[in-house]
Amino acid sequence: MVLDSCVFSKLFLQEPDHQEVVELITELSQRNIKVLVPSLFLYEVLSIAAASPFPIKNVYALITQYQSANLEIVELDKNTILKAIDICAHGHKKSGFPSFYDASYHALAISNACQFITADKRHVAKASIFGYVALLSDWRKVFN
Amino acid sequence: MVSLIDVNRDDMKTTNQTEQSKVRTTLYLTPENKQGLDRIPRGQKTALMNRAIANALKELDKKENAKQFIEMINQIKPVKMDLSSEEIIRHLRADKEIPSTDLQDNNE
Repeated sequence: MVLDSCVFSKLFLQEPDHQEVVELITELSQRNIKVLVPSLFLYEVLSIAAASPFPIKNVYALITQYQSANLEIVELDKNTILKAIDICAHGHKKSGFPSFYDASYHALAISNACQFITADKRHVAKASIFGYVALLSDWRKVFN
Repeated sequence: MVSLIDVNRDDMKTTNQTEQSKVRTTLYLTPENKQGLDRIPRGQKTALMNRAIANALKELDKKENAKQFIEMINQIKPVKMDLSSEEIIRHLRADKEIPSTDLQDNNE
């Protein structure tokens, strides 16, 4: 599974779907499911932490602990980058095109034939045609 | 599955003749594992057993680390931000400045 940085960040942000993320990540950990993220995940999550009152060192400790269990931070290979470029090109002038950042996560999921879980409804609306993407609110359906 | 029952230190040479510290031990194997191991050529069994044990121990470590990670996330007291994480990420990805909430506790 591929997790968006906005999903992981909900672990330390007080948002209506905070508990949803706790349950998702607990489930992933208990089932020993590998979670893949592109290297920009680290910078995005830490940037959010830096802008929040939550101690950034604690967030980094959280990420490293997750790495020692099921989280794998990966560099995108050529095929995945090409797929991300492909996703970026697919949009509409009015509604916009997926950003390369969003597409990187999504392409990583496609390359590994797994689901990209995001809370960003806009990206799902723009790129659901490529498959392998689900909204955080639908994560339980992914396991069924 | 294998179980370790006795360990006696002993220096031996590896099958590829490189010097390496090894430990002589006795293992009780299930009949299935013994049968499977009998198919492996002489000289490769030790390497295979070590690989299998190392992988099994790594998995155990990962399980333990996952348990600790779950404990960590259950102890988190989430903080409020003016924007949702989706909006913050959108700002970041659009290279906009993130309006910070309160940074005073940020470097505890």
